[in-house]
Amino acid sequence: MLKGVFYKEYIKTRRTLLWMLLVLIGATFALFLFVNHEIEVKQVSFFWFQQMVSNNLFFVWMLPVFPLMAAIFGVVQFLPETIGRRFRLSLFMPENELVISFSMLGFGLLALTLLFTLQFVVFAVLFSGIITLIWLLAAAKVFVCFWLFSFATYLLIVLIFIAQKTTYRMVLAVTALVQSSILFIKPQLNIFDCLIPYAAILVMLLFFSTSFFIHHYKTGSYEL
Amino acid sequence: MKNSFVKYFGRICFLMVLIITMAYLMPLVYKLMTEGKTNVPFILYSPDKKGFFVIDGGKFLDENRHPIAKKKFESALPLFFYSKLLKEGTMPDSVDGMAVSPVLLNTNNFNESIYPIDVDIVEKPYYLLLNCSGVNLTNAPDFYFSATSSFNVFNIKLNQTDTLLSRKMNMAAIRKGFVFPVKAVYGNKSVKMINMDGNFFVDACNNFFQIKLISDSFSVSTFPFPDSFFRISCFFNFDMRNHELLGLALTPDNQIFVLEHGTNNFIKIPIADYRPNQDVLRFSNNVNHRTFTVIGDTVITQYVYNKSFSEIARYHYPIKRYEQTVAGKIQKYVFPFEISFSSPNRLKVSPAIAFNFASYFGLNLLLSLLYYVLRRSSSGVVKAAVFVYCTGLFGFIALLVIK
Repeated sequence: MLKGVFYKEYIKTRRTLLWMLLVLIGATFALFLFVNHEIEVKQVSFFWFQQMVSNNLFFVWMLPVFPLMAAIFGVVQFLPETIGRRFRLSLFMPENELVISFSMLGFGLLALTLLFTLQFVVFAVLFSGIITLIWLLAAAKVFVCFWLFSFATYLLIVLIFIAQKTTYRMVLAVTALVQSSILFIKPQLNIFDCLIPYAAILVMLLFFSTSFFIHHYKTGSYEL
Repeated sequence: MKNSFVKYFGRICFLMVLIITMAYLMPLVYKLMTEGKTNVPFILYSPDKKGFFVIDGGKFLDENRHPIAKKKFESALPLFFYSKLLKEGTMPDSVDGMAVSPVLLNTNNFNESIYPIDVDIVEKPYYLLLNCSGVNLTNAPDFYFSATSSFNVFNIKLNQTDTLLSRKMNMAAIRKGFVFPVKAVYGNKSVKMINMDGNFFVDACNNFFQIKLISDSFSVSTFPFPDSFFRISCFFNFDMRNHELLGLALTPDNQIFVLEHGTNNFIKIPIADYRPNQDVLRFSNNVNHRTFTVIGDTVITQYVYNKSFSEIARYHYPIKRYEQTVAGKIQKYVFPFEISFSSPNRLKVSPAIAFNFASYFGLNLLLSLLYYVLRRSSSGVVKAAVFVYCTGLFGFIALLVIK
C-alpha cells in the first residue's frame, strides 16, 4: 500500500519536481557566474575579505528559493487532494489513515531533501575551485538551517490545505509568515548553528500536528 | 485507542507550535508599539574640574545632573573636544598640569566597547593573517589561517595551502612551547588592515601566546600569568597607537585584566560588578587617565584610573531601562514567557527563552479560572485550565482557537 501511495504522489508531482530541480540548478549556475564576475572585477582577495570579515555571504540571495520551492511543492501535492475531496478518498484506502497521511508527507519531505541535496552537490562541485572544504562545511550548516525552515514551510502549507476551518487556515498562514521571518533577522554565517535545533523541533511538531487535522478531515467534523 | 492518542498528541503538537509562535510574535509587537527610542547616556571625566559630565538624551549635564551650556560643557572636557576647541582657538596649553598638543592627544586617545556578543566567541573556519611589518596594505590580505591541531596558512590568491608559511608558523610556535590543539584564537575586534599586534592564542595547556607575522617570518611571545590558577575566557587586542596596552582579558569569574605592552604583565582592574554576558564595558584611554565604564541594567558606573591603574574617581549614574517603564512592567505581568531570536541590544542572534514569573501570580491564575468558567461543561476542563495556568495568555488564546 505504501508503494501505491508513493507512486500516486510521484505521478502527481513528477513534472513539478523536474521543474524545481531545473530552477535550483539554474540558480546555482547563476550564482556561480555572479561569483566569477565578482572575482574578476574585485580580485579574489577582496572577495574573500568580504566573505570572511563582513560576513557578507555570497550565496545569501539564493537561500529564500528553498522555502519558496517547498511552499510550491506543498501546493502542487495537496491542492489536487482538496479538490473534489480526493484526500478523504485516500484516507479510506485499506490502511491506517495516519500511515497513509504520514507516507504522503514523508514522500514530500523525502523529495525535497533529495532535491536540495542534489542542488548542494552541484553547488559543491561548481565552487570546489573557489571555496575550501572547511568553508564548504560552514556553508552546509546555513543550507541545512534553510532546508529545515523550508520543511516547516512545506508542512504549514499542507496543513492549510488539510485544515477545514478558516480560523485554522488563517492561524497557520500567520504562523508560516512569522516562522519564515526568523530566517531574515540577520543573515550571517555564525547564527544558523543556533537556529538548527529550533528548526528541527518545529519540523517535528508540525509533522505530528497533521494527525489532529487528518482526524477531522476523515470524520468530516468540519465542513469546507 | 491508538488513533485517538495520536490525535491527542497531534493536538498538543499544534498547540505547542501556536504557543511558540505567539511567545515570539506578541512580546515583539508589544515592545515595538510601546518602546521609545532610548539612548545610553555618555559619561566623561574632566581631569581639570575633577568631576564627571554626562550627555543624556541630547542634554548636557554636570555630575549633579544639572543642565549646563554646551560651550561650558565642551570647555570642561578639552581631552575629548580638543579638535573643536582647536578650531575655536580656545584649547588650553596644559590639562591638569600636563602640557598637551594635538598630536599627543591624537596618539593617546583610544576607545573600545565590549558588547555581550563580543564575549561570545564564535569559532571561525579561517582567521586573517596580517603582516605586522608596518607595510601599508592597500589591497585585501591574501593570507588566512585555520587553527586546529596545527596552523594551516592558506593563500587565497593561489587557492592553496602555503606549506612553507604553515611550517614556519608551526615551528615558531612549537619552539616557544606551544602545545596543540589550539583552544582559542583572539584578535583585534575592529578588523584593521594594518595590525601591529598579530593574533593571540590559548594552547592546549591554557598558556597564552602572541604570534606575529613580520615580513615572512613569525615572532612568538608568551605571557606569564599572575598565578597558576589564572585562566583567560576572552581577550580583546587593542592595537593602540601609543602601544601602552596590548589588550584586555576576561577570566571565567568575570574579572578584568589588562595586558601591558613591554612588561607583558597582566594587571588586575578591581571592577566587581561587570557581567560580560549582559553588560557593556567601555574602555577609554587618554593622555593622563583611563576610564572603564560598565553599562548595567539599572546603573552606569564609570571608574577612572591614572596611568598606573590607581583609582582616581568613581561615578554612578542611574538609568531607566524599558523594563522599568510602565509598559515594561505591564509586559512582565502579561506574558509568562518570551521567545526571542535576538538579544535586547539586537547584536546577538540565537533562540532564547525568558520567563516572567510575575504573571504566574496574577493574569495566569485569572485566565485559567476564566477558561474553567467558559468551558466548565466540556470534558477535561481541569487539565486544560492547568495548561492555561502554565502557558498564560498564549495557552488561553491557543485553546480558544483550537476546540
